[in-house]
Amino acid sequence: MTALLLSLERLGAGYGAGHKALQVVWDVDLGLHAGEWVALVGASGAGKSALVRTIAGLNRPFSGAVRFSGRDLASVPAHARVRLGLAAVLEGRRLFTGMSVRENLLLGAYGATSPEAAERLAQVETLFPLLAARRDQIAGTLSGGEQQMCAIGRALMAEPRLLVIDELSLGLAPAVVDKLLDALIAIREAGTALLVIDQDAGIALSGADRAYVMRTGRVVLDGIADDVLGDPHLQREYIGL
Amino acid sequence: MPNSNPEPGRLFPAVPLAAAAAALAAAGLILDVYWLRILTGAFLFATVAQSINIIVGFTGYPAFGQVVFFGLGAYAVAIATADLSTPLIAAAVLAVAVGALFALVCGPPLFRLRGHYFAIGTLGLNEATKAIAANWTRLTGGGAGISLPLPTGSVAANGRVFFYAFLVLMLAATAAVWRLGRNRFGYACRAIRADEDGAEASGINPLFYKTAAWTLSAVFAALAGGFYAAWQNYVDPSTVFDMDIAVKGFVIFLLGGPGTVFGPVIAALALELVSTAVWGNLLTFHLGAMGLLIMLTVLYLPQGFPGLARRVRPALSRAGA
Amino acid sequence: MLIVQALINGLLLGGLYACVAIGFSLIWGVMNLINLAHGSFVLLGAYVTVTLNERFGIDPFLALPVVAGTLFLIGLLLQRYLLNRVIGGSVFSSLIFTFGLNMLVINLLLLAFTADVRGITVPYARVSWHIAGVFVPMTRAAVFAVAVALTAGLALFVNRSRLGAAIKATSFDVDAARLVGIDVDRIYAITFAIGAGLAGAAGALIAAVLAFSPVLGDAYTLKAFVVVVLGGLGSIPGALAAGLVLGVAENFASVLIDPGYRDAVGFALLLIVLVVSRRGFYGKRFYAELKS
Repeated sequence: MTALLLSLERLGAGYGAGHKALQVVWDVDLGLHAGEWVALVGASGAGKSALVRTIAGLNRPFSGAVRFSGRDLASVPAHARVRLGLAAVLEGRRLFTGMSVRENLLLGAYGATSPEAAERLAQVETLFPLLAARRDQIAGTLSGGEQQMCAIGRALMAEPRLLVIDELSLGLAPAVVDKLLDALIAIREAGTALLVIDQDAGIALSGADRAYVMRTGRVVLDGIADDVLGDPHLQREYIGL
Repeated sequence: MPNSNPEPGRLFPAVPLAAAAAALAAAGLILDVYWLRILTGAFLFATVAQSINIIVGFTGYPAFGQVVFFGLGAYAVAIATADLSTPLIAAAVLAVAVGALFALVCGPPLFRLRGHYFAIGTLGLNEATKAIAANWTRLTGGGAGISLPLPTGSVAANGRVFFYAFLVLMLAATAAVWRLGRNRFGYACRAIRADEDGAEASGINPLFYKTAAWTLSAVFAALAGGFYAAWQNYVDPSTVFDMDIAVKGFVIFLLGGPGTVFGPVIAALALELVSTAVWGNLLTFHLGAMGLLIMLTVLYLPQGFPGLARRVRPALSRAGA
Repeated sequence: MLIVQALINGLLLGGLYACVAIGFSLIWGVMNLINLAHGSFVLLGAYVTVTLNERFGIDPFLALPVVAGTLFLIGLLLQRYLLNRVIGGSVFSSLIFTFGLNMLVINLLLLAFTADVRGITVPYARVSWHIAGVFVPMTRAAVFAVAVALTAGLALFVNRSRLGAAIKATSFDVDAARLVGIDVDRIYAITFAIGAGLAGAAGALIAAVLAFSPVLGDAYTLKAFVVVVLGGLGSIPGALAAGLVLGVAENFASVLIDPGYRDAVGFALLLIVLVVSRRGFYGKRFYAELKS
C-alpha cells in the first residue's frame, strides 16, 4: 500500500477557542494517497468547512492530528502549508476581490520566481481559457462560476500535490459545474491529488476514487466511490441522486 | 464586539448588593470630604460606564464619542443656572431633554453606519460639538467656559449632597441596565447586537430600538454631565467634551464585563480607588499612567473581571457560559 | 487675491495633510486597525527632527529619511510585540488600546519636551516666490513636493512590488492570503512599520514649516481620519485629493469665517461624508465596503 499523502487521525475540529469554543467535528479518520481523488459528502452543518479549515491550518485541531506526507502539521502554520504542496480553495471562493484575475493567479505562485510564475500562469490559462480572456477583469465582478475557476486556478499556481476544494458547486449552474468537473479530471490526470467536498453527493462522487460521508460531525460511511454511491442510506439522505 | 450575554444578578445576587448600596448610603454620612469626593467621582464614572453599557454592551454599537451627551448635559445645566437662573432641578430636566433630543436627532443618520465607522462618527460628533461650544461664545462663553453660581452651605454638606445625588443616579442607571436584561426592550437590543439583519427579519425594527437605546443612554450621560457641572461649578469645552471621560468610561465598562449589571459599578469603585492610591500624586504622568492602564486592560483583561473569574474558576464558567 | 492666496496656501497645506493621512490609511485598510495614536507618531517624528536640528544642525529635509527609519523600527516593534495581540479583538478594543498608547506617547513627549510650542526656522525660510500675484514660500513648496512624492512612492510600492501585492491581498482576504503562502503576521508588522515611518516623515515635514506641541497630536489623527473618509479607504489618489480639499477648506474657513473654525471644518466634512456615502470620493468598490 502506498503511503498516505494526507491523513486525518481521530481529528476533532471546530471554531473559536477557550470558553467560546464550538466543536463541530469528532473523531474523523480519513486517508488520501498521492494522485487519488477522494470525495467528502455532507449536508450543511455536517462540519465539512471546519474540517477543511483545519486541514488548511486556519483553525487549530481540537484533538487528533493532520498529517501530510507523514508529517504532523501541528507545528506548520497555514501560510507554510502551501510550500509543502497542500493547496486549498475555501467555500465562497475567497478571491482578492479588488484585484484582477491575473493578479489573483500570480499571487497563487507567491513563493515562486517570476519566470516560474509566468510558466504556471500559461498552464492554468490553458486549462481555463476563460481566465485568459478575463485577465484584467476585477475578480469581484466575475460570475460565481468564473470566480470558482479563478480560485481553483489560483490554488493550482502553487503546483500542489493535493488540492482541497470546499463546496465546489454551491450556487453554480449545472453546466458550470460540469465544466469544473472536466477541469478537475484534467488536473487529476496531471498527477495532483484531489479532495473535493460538496453537499451534493452526485457531484462530489463523480470522478472520485473513494468517498467519505459525514453527518453532524462524524464520518458515517466510507469506501470506494461506486459503493458509496449505491449505498441505500446515502440515497435516502441526500438530494441530487 | 464583546460577546458575553448580560447575566442579570448572576454574578452578584441582589441581597448582598442591596446591603452594599445601604452601606454606601450610610458611608455618606460618616466619611470625610476627601473620601466623599473620591466616591462621588467613582459614582459619576460608573454612571457613564452604564450609559455605555446600554448602547455598546446591549445594543452592540460602539459609541466611542458618548461623552458628547455628558458635555451637552453639563452645558444645559450651566447655561440654565448661570444665565437663566433656573433652579437646579429644572436645569437637570433640561439636561435630560437636551441629551435625549440630540440622540433622537443624530441617531437616525449615524445609525446607518456600523462598527468602526459608527465609532468614529460619534467621535466626530463629539469633536464637532466641542468645536461649536468653543466658538459659539454668545451662548456658551466660548473657550472660557461658564462659571455656575456657587451653592450655599458648607463644603462638607454640599459634598454630601452631591455624593447622594450621584449615588442615586448611579443606582438608577444600574437599575435601568438590570431591567434591560429582563424586558422585551433589552431583548430586542441584544438581538440587534447578535445579528441585526436577522433581528430585522424577525420583525424587530432596528432603527427604533437603536435610537431608543441611545436616547436612554444619553439621558444618563447627560444627567451625569449636568450633576458634574453643578458639582464643579465650572464647565468649559475641553473639560466636559473630553474624550478621556469617554475612554475612562469604556475602560470601566470593559473591566466590569460588557453587558453585566453590576460590573461597571464594581469596576468604577476599584478603578477610582486604585488610581487615587497609586498615582494620585503622579501629576506629570497621570495621562501616561492612565494610558498604560488602558493598554494593559485591553491586552490582559479583554473580558474584564468576569473574564478573569471565568479563567480562574473553570467550573463557574462552564455553568455560566 | 486673498482668495487665491488662501487657495494656494490651502493646497500646499493639503499636500502635507495627505502625507499625514496615507500611513494611517494603509494601516486601517490592510489591518482594519484605526490607529488613534497616529498623531502621536507624527509628533514623535517632528520632535526627533527638531532634536536633530538643534543638536546637530541637520536640516529637516535631510533628517527625514532618518526620522522615517526610526519610526519604522518603532512601529515594527510595537506591532510585533503589542498590537499583534489586539488586532483580532472587537472594534473598540483596538480603538481604546491605541487611544491608551496615544496617551502614553503624548505624556512621554510632554515630559521630554514640555508643552511649549516648537518649530524650526530653516535658514532659507524667508525665500518666497512671487508667481502671478501670489506668494509661494519655497519651504512650503518643498514640503508639498516631498509629500506628494511620498504619496506617489507609496502608490508605486503597493501596486508594483511583490510585497505590495501581498499587502493588498491581505487587505482583501486574510485567510486567502495565508493560503497562497503569505505570512500575514509579517505583512501586518511591515504594514504598520511603513505606516509609522510615513507618519514620521510627515512629522519631519511639519517640523520644517509649522509650529507644534504634544497637545496637537489628536488634531493630526483626526485630520488623517477626515482625509481617509473623504478620499475613500484604500485609495491613495483619493487621499491626495481629500488632503487638498481639506487644506483648502480649512484655509477658506479660517480666512472667511474665523480661524477658530479650522478644525470644525474637518469634522463637518467628515460627518457629511459619513452620512451621505461611506465610500468617500474615490472609495473603490471592494475596498471601502469590507471594513466596517
